[in-house]
Amino acid sequence: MEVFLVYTLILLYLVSTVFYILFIFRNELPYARVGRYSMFGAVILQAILLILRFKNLEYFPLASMFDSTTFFTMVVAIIYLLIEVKTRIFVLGAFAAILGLIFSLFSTTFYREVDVIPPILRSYWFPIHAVTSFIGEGAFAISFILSLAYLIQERELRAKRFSLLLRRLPPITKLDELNYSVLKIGFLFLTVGIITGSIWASYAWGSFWSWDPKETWSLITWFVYAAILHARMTAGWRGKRAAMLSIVGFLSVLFLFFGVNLLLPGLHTYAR
Amino acid sequence: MGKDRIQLITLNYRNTPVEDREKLALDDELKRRLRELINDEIKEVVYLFTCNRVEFYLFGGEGSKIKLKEFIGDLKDREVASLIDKGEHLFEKDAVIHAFRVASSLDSMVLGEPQIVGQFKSAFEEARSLNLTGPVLNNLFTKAITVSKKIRSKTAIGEAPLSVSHAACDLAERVFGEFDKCLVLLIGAGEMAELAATYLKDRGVKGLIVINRTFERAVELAEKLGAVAKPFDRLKDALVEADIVISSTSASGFIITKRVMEEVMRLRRNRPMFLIDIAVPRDIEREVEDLENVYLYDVDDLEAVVEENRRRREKEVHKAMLIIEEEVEVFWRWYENQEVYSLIADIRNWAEEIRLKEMQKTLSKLKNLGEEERIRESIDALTKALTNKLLHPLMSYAKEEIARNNPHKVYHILRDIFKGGGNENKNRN
Repeated sequence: MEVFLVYTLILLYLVSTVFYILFIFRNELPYARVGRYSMFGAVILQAILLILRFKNLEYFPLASMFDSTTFFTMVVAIIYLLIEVKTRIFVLGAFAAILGLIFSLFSTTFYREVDVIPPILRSYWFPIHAVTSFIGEGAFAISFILSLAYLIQERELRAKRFSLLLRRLPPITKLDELNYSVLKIGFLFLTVGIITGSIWASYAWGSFWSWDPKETWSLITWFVYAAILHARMTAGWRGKRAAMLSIVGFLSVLFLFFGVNLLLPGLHTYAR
Repeated sequence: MGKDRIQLITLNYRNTPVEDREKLALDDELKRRLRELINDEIKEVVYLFTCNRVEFYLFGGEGSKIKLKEFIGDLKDREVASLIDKGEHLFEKDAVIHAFRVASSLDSMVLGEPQIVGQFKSAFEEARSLNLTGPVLNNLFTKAITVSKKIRSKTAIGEAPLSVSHAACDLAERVFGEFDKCLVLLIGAGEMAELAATYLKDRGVKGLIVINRTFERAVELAEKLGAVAKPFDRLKDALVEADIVISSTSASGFIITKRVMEEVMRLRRNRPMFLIDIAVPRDIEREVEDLENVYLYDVDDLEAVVEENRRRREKEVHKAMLIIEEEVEVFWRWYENQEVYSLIADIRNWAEEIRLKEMQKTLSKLKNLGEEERIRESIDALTKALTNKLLHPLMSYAKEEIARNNPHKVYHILRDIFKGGGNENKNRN
C-alpha cells in the first residue's frame, strides 16, 4: 500500500511538471490547472502516507529520512500552492513541481519499513521542533525557486530580447518582493525551530547546545539567512545579490537536511 | 439571375490610397440607408471601415457589384462610386479566407495588431442590428471572430510589441509589474519623449516629472501632461526618486554618467531603475548598465527588439494559416449544405405558391356551393397531399445525396431543373 502511494505521488509530480511546463509554452490556464491539481493530489497522497506510517508507528512520523523527505516535499508544495492561489502566478509551478519530483524520487532511496523508533523522539518537543524547522526550510526552498526565476528574468532583461521566458516570468520587482516576504517567514520559523530544538535537547541530553553537526549547520544556515535579511534592510542588497545569496542559503539548507544526516555522524543520526 | 454567392469588395492599404478610401466612409445616417441595398440581387451585406480598409461583404447574385455601385452613386456621387472598381472583388472561398485573415489580423498593416478584431466585431453587430445580415454572413462573421480568438491563443501572433514606445513600456513592465508605484522622469521635452510619457500615463503611473534645460519648456510640457516640472540642477534628486527615466535631450555629451548613477543607486538603496535613452547622440553612458538593478535600453536596442518581434510574428503566420485553412473547410461544409437547403426551401415555396394559387382559382369557381368551409378544408388537404407526394421522390433523393456528402451535386441538379430556385418557373406561370 505504501509503495503504491509512493509511486502514484511521484507520477502526480511528474504530471504536474509536464503540465506546468506546457503552460509556459502555451499560456493557457487549463494546463496550469492540471499542474495545480496534480500537485495538490500528490500532497494529499503524501499526507495519507504519513498518516499511515503514523498509525503503524504510533508516533510522529518523522523518524526516518524517508518520512522527513516526504514531509519536507509536502511542505514545499503546500507553501507553493498557497502562494500560487494568492498571487495567481502560475509560471513558477514548473519549478516547484520539478523540485517536488526530484525530492520525492530521492525519498525512495531512503525507503524502509517502519521499525522501532528511538525513545528520545518520544517528546512533545520533537513534533514542534520538526514541524517549525521544516516549514522554515520549505520557505527557503520556495525562496530558492523565486531566486532562480529572478536570475533568469534579470538575464533575459539584460539580453534585450523579448523572449518567451521574459514574457512569461513575473516582473523582477514582484519576484524580489515575494522573495523577501518568503525569506522573512522562513527565517522566523527556522529561528523558532532552533529554539524549540534546543529546549528539547535540554530535556533529552541535559544541555541546550552540544555542537553536534546538525546543530552547527543549522546555525550556519541561520547566519546565512540573517545576513541576507540584514544586508537587505541596511545596505539595500536586493535583486540579483539577494537572489544569489538565497541560493547559497538553500544549498546550506540542503546540506543541513541531507548532507549532515548522511555524511557527518552526530546526535541526529537516528534520522537516517 | 445567377446563384447567390459570398462576395467581397475590398479597398485596402495595398490597392487604394487612404484619400480615396476616406471618401467611402459612411456615417450612421448613411449606414442605416444600407438597408435599401437589400433586394432580390443582394441578400445580405456587412460594411467594414477601418483606417486600413473599406470592405463590403455581400451575399448575392451576379449583379451585386453593379447594384452596390449604383447605391454608392445615389449615396455620394458617381466619382466615389467608381472607386468600387479599384477594389479587389473576391468570391466564395477566397472571400471567406480573406474574412478570416482580416479578423485574425493577418491582413493588417501591422501584423497581429489587436484593434481589428473589435472593429470587425462591431461592424458585424452594427449590420446585424440594422437587419442587413442573414444566415450566411451571420455565420461567416461569427466563425471569423471565433477563428481570430483561436489564432490569438494558439499562436504568438499578437504577443510581442511592434512599436518602440510600446516595446519600452512592455519591457519596463517586466521590471516593475504594475506601474501604480512608478514615478516617471522625462529629461528633455522632445516629441518622442512626450509620446512615450503619454503612453506610460495611460498605463497608470504614479506620477511624472519633467526636467529640461530651459525651465519654461519643462513647465509647458508638464502642464500638458499633468506632471511636475523641475529645474535642471535638480536632476540627481529626481533620479533618486524616479523609477522609469526617458531621456531625449539634444545635448552633445552624456547627461547621465556611470559615476552619477553609482551615487544615485546608493541613495535610492538599489531600488531598480529602467532607463530609456531615445536621444541621438545618446544621453546616458552605456556603462551605466553594468550597475546592478539598472536596466538601460537605447533606441538601437528598442528597434532591435521591435525587429525581432516582427520576425517572430511573421513566423507565426504559417501556423495561423493552417488554422484558417482548417476552419474555412468547416465553414465551407456548412455553407454548401446551406446552399442546398435554401434551394430546397425555395422549391417548396414555389410549389406552395402554385398550390395556393390553383386552389384559389378552384375555390372561386365553387363559390356558390354550400358548406364552403368543409370543401375548402378538403381541397386544401388534397392539394397539400398532392404537392408533397409529387415532391417526395425529389426530396428523398436530395436528402440521401446530402447524407452521402454530395450537396454540390444535388444543388446543381436541382438548380438545373428549376433554373434559379424556381423563380423563373414561377414567372412562367
